[in-house]
Amino acid sequence: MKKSCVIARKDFKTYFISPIGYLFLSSFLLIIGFMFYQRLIYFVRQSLIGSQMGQPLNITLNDAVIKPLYGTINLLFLFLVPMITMRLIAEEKKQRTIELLLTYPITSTQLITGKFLSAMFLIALTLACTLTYPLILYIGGNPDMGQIFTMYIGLVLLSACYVSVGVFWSSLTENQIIAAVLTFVSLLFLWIIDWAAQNVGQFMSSVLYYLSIMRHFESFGEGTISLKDTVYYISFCTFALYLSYLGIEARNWKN
Amino acid sequence: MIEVKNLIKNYGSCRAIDGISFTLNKGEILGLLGPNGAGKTTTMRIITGFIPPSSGTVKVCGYDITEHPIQVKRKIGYLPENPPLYNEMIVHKYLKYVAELKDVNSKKIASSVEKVIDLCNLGVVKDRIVGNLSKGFRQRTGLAQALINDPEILILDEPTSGLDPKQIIEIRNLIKSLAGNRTVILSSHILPEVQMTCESVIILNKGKIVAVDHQKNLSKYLNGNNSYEMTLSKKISKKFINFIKDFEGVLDVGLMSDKNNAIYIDTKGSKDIRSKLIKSTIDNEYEILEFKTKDVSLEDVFMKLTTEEVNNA
Ligand SMILES: Nc1ncnc2c1ncn2[C@@H]1O[C@H](COP(=O)(O)OP(=O)(O)OP(=O)(O)O)[C@@H](O)[C@H]1O
Ligand SMILES: [Mg+2]
Repeated sequence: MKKSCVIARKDFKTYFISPIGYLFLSSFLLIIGFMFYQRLIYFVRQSLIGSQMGQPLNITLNDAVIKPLYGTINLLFLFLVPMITMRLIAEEKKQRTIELLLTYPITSTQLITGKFLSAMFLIALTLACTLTYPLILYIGGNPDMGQIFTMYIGLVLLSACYVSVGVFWSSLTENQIIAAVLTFVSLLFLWIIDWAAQNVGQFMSSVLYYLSIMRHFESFGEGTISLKDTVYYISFCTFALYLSYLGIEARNWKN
Repeated sequence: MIEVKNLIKNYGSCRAIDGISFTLNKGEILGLLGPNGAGKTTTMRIITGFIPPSSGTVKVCGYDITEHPIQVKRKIGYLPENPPLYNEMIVHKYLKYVAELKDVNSKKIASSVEKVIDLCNLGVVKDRIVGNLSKGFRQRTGLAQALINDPEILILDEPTSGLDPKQIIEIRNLIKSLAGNRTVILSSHILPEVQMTCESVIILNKGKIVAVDHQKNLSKYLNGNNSYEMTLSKKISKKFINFIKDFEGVLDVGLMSDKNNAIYIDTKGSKDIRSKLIKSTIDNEYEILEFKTKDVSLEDVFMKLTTEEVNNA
């Protein structure tokens, strides 16, 4: 674990040596900031109309602002995570630095974990930056903080899945672009997989619903932490990281 | 210390190394010599655990590389050919990173980094970015990362390739001074280098060992024959050549290529024919413009062994 952290720390710093880290953070915060502003305006207008008409407000702060906001974060991760995972292992292969790395006394598991953690550190930093929005709402209004909390838990789990898929593709190729495209396509596929569920038999559709990565986020959006969904995310992650482990170990397969 | 047995590595249908075995004792320096594509890098990659052999075993200090990779890797410092380094990192931070990965005691990290910077003469560039280093400093940085955990075994793949003559000498001396009680394997296709630094030599060609020897034996074997070159004042006649051929101890005589006034004479080392040769040349009314004793170097043996192999193939 110690060595995973050493690798994670180094790779995390590397994000900010190249422009990628800044690009990721700034584009993310720009769009989220815009989104937050729009939703807030919308909510304020709604409540103004409501008070003029003398009707009680039929929409909560959480429904009007928070939920769409976190939906957007989710969507942005889908687009931006491939950008931060593509280089993790592919670049080591391309620059051949993996040759030295694999002759150091570290295991492939430590290597994969380190790479995974470095991207998660960046995600954590990004999510930490978005904490300002609930804080603003908390100062000026009365949001449901519990629901916000579970949404953050859900987002961390969900992004961990995205990152693990990214690490997997990065472990298979030395071309960063290929790694990014394949990551994006497979994440998108996991998103839309439940569309197919409507057109198939009952058993198949329940399987597809189960696989759909977004379905499992719903409970977190409702303000609950569901064990079933947490287990899904954690096993998804473990499985993808295990495949990346095989990707690294593939060099050991005898031909 | 290092025991390599019957190593074979196939890349698809291409056999990169084919049945290599050797043992190396503590403190020895072994040179792996061979032309391009001989399998030097492949052998080293297997010993360092970067790639697995298709068959055969490698034991380092009694540990099998496939069964106990971590124990083996702890003992080895590896410098790959054209060392792949993180170009975006700063030299001393890079070394610190390697030290952490290589299990250097966390209290000793700062001092080990300083030590290798001193040892490899990296002081002037330690705050520079690795990607901007010149080839010589890059090589030194590679060497520094191999040395950072003070490993018992050093594996250096063409440590002097691409350096200028001054750097080559410096790096060679550095390697020699490092050897001490370390076991070193180094590869090269520059023969004098191996001659100067290594105690024993393995010559590889097309994945096979074509000669193994201790440096001393090898030189003795090399000195078995003497070879001379002689340039005379005028065209040398066939008759004179045949005359010399009949001397006792002469193995071969012939005109040097594209010259008609120069000949080479190969003789058995046990018999010194020089004075007799010179006397009879003058007696035959030739003037001697030049007389040279040619050292038979490792180079000749190398060329001979590797080209023989090609001819047989
Ligand atoms: N990854 C690989 N895939 C396929 N063939 C390979 C691979 N690596 C090496 N080879 C082949 O194995 C043989 C031995 O290569 P190796 O790199 O070990 O030679 P070398 O002695 O180090 O040569 P050089 O002096 O050029 O460094 C070569 O014929 C090479 O083409
Ligand atoms: Mg090589």
